[in-house]
Amino acid sequence: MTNAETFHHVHDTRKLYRHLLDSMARPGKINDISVLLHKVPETCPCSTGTYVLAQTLLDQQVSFYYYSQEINADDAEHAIEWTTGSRHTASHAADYLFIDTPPEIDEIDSIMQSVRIGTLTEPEKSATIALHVRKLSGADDLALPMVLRGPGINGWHILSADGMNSEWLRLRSERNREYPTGCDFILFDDDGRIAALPRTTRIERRDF
Amino acid sequence: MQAHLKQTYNYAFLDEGSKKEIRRTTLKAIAIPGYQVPFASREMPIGRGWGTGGLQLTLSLIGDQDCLKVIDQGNDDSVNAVSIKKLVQSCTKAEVTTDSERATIIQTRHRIPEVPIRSDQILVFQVPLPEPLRMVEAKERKTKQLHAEMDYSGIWLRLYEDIVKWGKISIGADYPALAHKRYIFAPSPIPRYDLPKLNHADGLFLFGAGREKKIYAIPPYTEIEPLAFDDYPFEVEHFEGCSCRLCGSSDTFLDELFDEKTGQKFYQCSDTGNCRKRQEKRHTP
Ligand SMILES: [Zn+2]
Repeated sequence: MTNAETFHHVHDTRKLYRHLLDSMARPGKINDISVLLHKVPETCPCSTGTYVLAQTLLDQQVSFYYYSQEINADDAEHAIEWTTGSRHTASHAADYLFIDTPPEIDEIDSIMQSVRIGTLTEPEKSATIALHVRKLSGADDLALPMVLRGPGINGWHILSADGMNSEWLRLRSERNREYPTGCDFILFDDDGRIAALPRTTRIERRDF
Repeated sequence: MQAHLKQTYNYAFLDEGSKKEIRRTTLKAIAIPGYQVPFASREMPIGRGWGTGGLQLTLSLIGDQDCLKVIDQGNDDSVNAVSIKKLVQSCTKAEVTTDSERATIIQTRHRIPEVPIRSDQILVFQVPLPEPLRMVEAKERKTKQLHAEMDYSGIWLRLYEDIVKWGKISIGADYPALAHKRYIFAPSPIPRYDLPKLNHADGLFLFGAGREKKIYAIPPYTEIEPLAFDDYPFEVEHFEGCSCRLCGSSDTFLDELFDEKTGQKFYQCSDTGNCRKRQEKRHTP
């Protein structure tokens, strides 16, 4: 692999940020980051999405929590620490949470009950959860269809996901009840689709 | 060797740690429309009060594919706008333009361009005083608390006193507004004429206050309500019967100017880039 093809810590983090910014400003809008995912080293022990998000958001000023049921989860944790300078911490203390494989319901509950949501005086002291899902779609064709409303959305917007437990949404709305406190979500899949659900987004589940 | 980039500068001037922090802060700001998120503002190679907050936002965003427009009170050619463009060009290969429709990023002081900001554009505001409650409360700790409790009675009382005293709300530029029915924010010293452009817009608006170390944002399609009373509604500046001396426009924001020799009053578009385009259109049949 030549240098030009590997994820560049200046130019590619900026490109990812611009996509993420667009997705955060327009909740549910899917941005395509597949070109950036292809630049992640093959030896990377976490998902390519987690890798590029960690490189873009983390440094020694913030902490992260990494969850994965893969056997090399510890390697991934250390690789993120080593490449970003950020430190791994418990889920209730972390600024950024990377959920790389779908946890059991109990695990989702324990993460969501304790995740930081900031305070009324400092609502920014809240966590951002980056959730690796199997697939995202801008139509209602996947297992978990959502109708989104709120700032950044002109009327309503449809997003659907495979490999995302609806428990995330239930607990999200519980923890985000008292705006401006709450936590923000970033969703991504292995095909390079990325979307965001900031705390202001009201989500209605749509079952057919 | 060709000196296409000055090696003394980082790409886009800021070190990567600074950019990361500004980016994290900006993402938070978008998630809480109108709330001022603190950040560790850096020293910049331009004078304080010349838009260091806006500049840091621009530098955290910009890449070689971008096209940048910088305006100062609508004017692309002011000393401040030119020096910001020079700095950006010394440390990136981004293009610069005066055409707001070609720009991907527009950094502005005191105006919003006449042509609406599109969904693929970002408008970055230079903010001198980000705290709208400062006029009623001097202490930062207290204004933070007032925002937390959504206790806005002080600023409402101030507006009411204005009406009692002057028969109208006397605030011209930097007119306070409520974002997403939650936070009162300062739109920076834009004229009232520009404030409705923030409401339910297609584009993204980012605000940077360098000296006060705050970043805030108004995402697209967000409700922005200027503070007003039912019987004293919000009103924008009017220019009835006036038109631009250069392009003839009567539906743009006009600056009132005086001819130095004759002392005669005349009007000219404040958005010089747009005015130039209108003049060209007028001259091509
Ligand atoms: Zn004109």
